[in-house]
Formats: sequence, structure tokens, C-alpha cells
Amino acid sequence: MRIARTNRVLLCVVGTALLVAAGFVLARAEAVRPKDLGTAHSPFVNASTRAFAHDHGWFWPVMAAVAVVVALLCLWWMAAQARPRALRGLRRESDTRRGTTTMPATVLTEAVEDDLSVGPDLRRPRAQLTGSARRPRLRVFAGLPPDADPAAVRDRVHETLARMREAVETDEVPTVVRLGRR
Amino acid sequence: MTIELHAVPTAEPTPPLPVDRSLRRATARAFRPRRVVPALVVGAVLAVGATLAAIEIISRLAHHRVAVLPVGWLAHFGTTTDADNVRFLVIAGVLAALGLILVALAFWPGRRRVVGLATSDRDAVVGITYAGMSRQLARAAETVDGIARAKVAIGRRRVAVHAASPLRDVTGLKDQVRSAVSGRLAEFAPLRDRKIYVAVRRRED
Repeated sequence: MRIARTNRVLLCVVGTALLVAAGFVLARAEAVRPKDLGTAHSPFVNASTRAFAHDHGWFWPVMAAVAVVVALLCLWWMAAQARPRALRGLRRESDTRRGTTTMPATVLTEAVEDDLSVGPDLRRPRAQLTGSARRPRLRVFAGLPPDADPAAVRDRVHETLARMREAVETDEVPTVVRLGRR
Repeated sequence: MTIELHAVPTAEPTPPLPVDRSLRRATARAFRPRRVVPALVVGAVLAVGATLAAIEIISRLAHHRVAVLPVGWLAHFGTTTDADNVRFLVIAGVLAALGLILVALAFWPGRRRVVGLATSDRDAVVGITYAGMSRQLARAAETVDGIARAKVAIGRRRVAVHAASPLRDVTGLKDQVRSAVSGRLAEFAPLRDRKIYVAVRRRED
């Protein structure tokens, strides 16, 4: 869910930047503000632009820094498309002065998978914990046989999630359950 | 062989479900397309362009130029082509088109492939893929006596059932299929009503 929002925001930002660039080029071509943007019958990169870059020694180093930052951000953006990193452990002790107890995430996810596997209504359930140790999120994938009992599936999912929240001692574990053909 | 189709829209949609708007919105957000492909394409193009620009600028500042971009051609083009040249208008048009496409991708929800299901758990959203729901409803249609096989297509607001029967007389079958599919759909408690359209193909000699 979060990568969906990030992608949409960044696509909107890039799209808007392209629209602004297009608007600037058109404004130059139509001489909308010749005193500020330059006249239409002059080169797009005119003498004043070249003089600005030449007279300000910081111009090209700043351009280089911007290019590096953009490249790194884009690499981060592309890497973020990979599946969300699974959480390794859950912190069960909110008061760290008493020490910390960390439960391996696989203990929880395997328990969820085993719980969901009970009965014939769900096939090959798979659970994944994401988010942070303090604010975990659960993703569940499971297959449905053609003659699954929807009421039994719903009850099984609800019971499993209730037990899971009891195990992590929190009521707030946002969960997404995706059923399909597996 | 003639094919007789009995396409009958239901008189009533599936019964309304006691779901609130917040659950429907949360489910839609959880299962909406992530726009991974556009993100990868745009990210890759920008990463490559920015990297090449950084290499070009840094190498020039270090007086050890690595020619990765046609800087000479770009400089000549920019300094000798008037701003009102048709080429710049084409460039503006291309930039605007790309910008509109990306903004549209950002705001358009996208094609849904998951049917949101009602749940009493306030911290969970549940959905079943269109393929999974199609199989469930097709199996329900096939439980009707006289139906050999069925295919189901799920849409955002409709369910289309195409059933085949080995019988010559299919009187009453479409209603039975509609009832079976409607009942099965109601068991899943989808968040959004869907009209059910049934077509039964009968055997013709």
C-alpha cells in the first residue's frame, strides 16, 4: 500500500515537472514574457543564459550535485519496487528500561500459516510481516479451493488474526488478506 | 449448429451489504495497482540521464572530459535555434504529452483485479482476486443440474456467466444458474453490488 502511494506521488511530481517544462518552452516560443524569459526570435540558450553560467562559478558544481542526487533518488525509487522487506523481529516490551524482548517474525508468520492451514478451506497460506518492530503490518496470501466455504474462511481468518494480535500483545496490526487461486 | 443464447439481466442486484465507506476506501487503497512498471521505467530513464549528466559535468570540471553526452550538438542546437522554431514546439508537445500521461497514471485508480470482501475486523482488509472469484462462481453455476460447464467474467459492477448445457431444453436453467451464482456471491459478502448476467447455451443437433 505504501509503495503504491509513493509511486503515484512521484509519478505526479515528474509529470508535473514535465508539464512545467513544456509550459516554459511554449512560453518562450510565444514570447509570453519576453523581458523575463527572452524573445521568441532569439536562440533558446541566449547570451544572457550563457553569461549567467559563466559568471557564477557555483553553477556547474551545483548542477553536478543535483544530477547525482537525482540519480541516487531514482536508484532508491527503483529498489523500493522490490517486495517490502520482511520484518525480522517484533519488540514485545514497550518499556525498554526493563529490557527488550524480541520475537522472531518467522515464529509469528509460521504460526499464522499453520493456523490458517487448519481445515480444507484455505490452501498454501503464506504470511509476511512488514513495517517496523513497533508498528508491524501483516500480509497474508492464501488459495481457495473451488468449493471453499466462505463463512468458514472468514471465521478462520478472523480467529487467526485475533490470536496473532493476542500473541504480539497489540490490537493494531493492519492486515491485508489476499485470496486467490493457488 | 445454431446457438441460442439467453442473456437475461437480473431484476435485482445482489443484496446490499452492511459496509461503511471507510472500509470500502481502505480496501480499495490496499488493493489498487501499485504502478510498478511506470515507476521502474521513469526511474530508469531519469537515473540514466542524471548519471550521464553528472559524469559529463564532473569530468569537465576536472578537466578530464569523458564524452558520454553529445554536448557539442546540444550546445549548437540550443544556441543557434530560435525559441519559436517548430522543433521546440514539438519538444514542448512531447513533454506535455508525457507529463499528462504520468499525471493520469498517478491519479487514475487503475484496473482492479481484486474483489473487496466485507469483514468485521476493523484492522484488516480482505479481498479475493478476480480469477479466484471467477472460479468460485463458475463452480457454483456448474452445480446446477443440466449445466456441463461455465465460465464467469468479473467486472467492477457486473458478473457475466456463460454456461453450456448438453440439454436441448434449457427452460428454467438460467434462473437456477442465476440463483446459484447469486447465492455463492452473497456468501462471500463483496463490498460492492454486482449485477449478474447469465447466458445459457443449449445443445442443438
